[in-house]
Amino acid sequence: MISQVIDTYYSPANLSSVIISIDKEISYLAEFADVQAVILFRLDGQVLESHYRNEVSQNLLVVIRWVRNIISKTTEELQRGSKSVKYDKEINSKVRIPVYFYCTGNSSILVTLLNSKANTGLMEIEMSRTAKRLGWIIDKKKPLGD
Amino acid sequence: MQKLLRKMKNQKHERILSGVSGFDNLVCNGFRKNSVNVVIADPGCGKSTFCWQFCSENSQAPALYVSLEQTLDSVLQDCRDIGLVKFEQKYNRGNLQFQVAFSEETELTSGEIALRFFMSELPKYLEVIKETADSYYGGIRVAIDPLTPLLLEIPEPNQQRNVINRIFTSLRKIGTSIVTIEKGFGETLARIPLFLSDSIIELEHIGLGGIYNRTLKIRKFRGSAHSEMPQPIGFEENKGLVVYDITSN
Repeated sequence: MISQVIDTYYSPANLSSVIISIDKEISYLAEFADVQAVILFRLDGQVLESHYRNEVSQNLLVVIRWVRNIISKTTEELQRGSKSVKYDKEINSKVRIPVYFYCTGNSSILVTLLNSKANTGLMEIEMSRTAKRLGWIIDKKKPLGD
Repeated sequence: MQKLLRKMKNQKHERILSGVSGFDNLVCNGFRKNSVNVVIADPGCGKSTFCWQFCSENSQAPALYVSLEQTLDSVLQDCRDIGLVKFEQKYNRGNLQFQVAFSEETELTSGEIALRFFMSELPKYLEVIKETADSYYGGIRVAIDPLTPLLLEIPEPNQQRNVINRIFTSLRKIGTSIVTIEKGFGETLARIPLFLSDSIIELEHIGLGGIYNRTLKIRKFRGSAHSEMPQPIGFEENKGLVVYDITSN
């Protein structure tokens, strides 16, 4: 006889607190002045959560569309062992948008679109920390050294 | 030379309006006359709405709507629900012909019925309405929504190319057409109509919500300049599908 598996972590009450925690983490990262958009993707390419600037930008739309198209390939790359992948998406000869993909654990990918003149060193630390915390929230993995 | 430039300038205005707010600006004032234009889209992005608006535009111009999956009642109901009253008005005035290329009563698949419809019934019908079509600028407005069941019915590429070529050639003779194709059945399925069409309009669901939820991009537009950038799209009551212009941002 197969017994029913009851996962108390994903009970309705707990699930809503998980969603709130994910939203809190994404909002925290999106509030940095250098960040244009933060998107959390499921491994199958569906958007779980997203935050972006209020002002509408044609360049941002181009990059978001591009991210959507390459997310499955990048996910494969991250699943092979890399913790993060960085691209500089060229819009034209004057504008390049840095795009970071971070593996947050077993079930999602954190994507951050920065300003072209962003302080990438500082932002890499923040993105890495957020990815670890999201991994803990979603997969119940305790972050190491954070 | 001056004459040629004047002619080209005038040609720009000889376009068929799409009926979709904001779209014509992206393609030099509308579709080229007697062209076959493919709208390829994710679910829920406005393929059918695009067709309804295209058929409703210009109440005097005759329109033919070929549905491969919806009945007349359900299309009229959907149009009413989003406030596209012009579609029903045009139908009631007799300027819009509604053809259903599927049946619930037979065991045939919608692809088999569509194949029969396109290969034998449509050419006869087109012959009958050709005279009417010739009396209107740009001919009859035709919408085929969606072509996917037919494509699924003919998996062999050579045969599919022949069938699609015949259909598109007939459509060009009688007017300006929109053909919709559903995304998500594999890249190869939609490839042949994309090559044979005069333009490709891609509607994509990004899923970020707000202005970044759905986009429209012109992938191809034969014989004309067109916008290269994706544009956000949305639905508005009484207007239907709307393309938002953010090129200045």
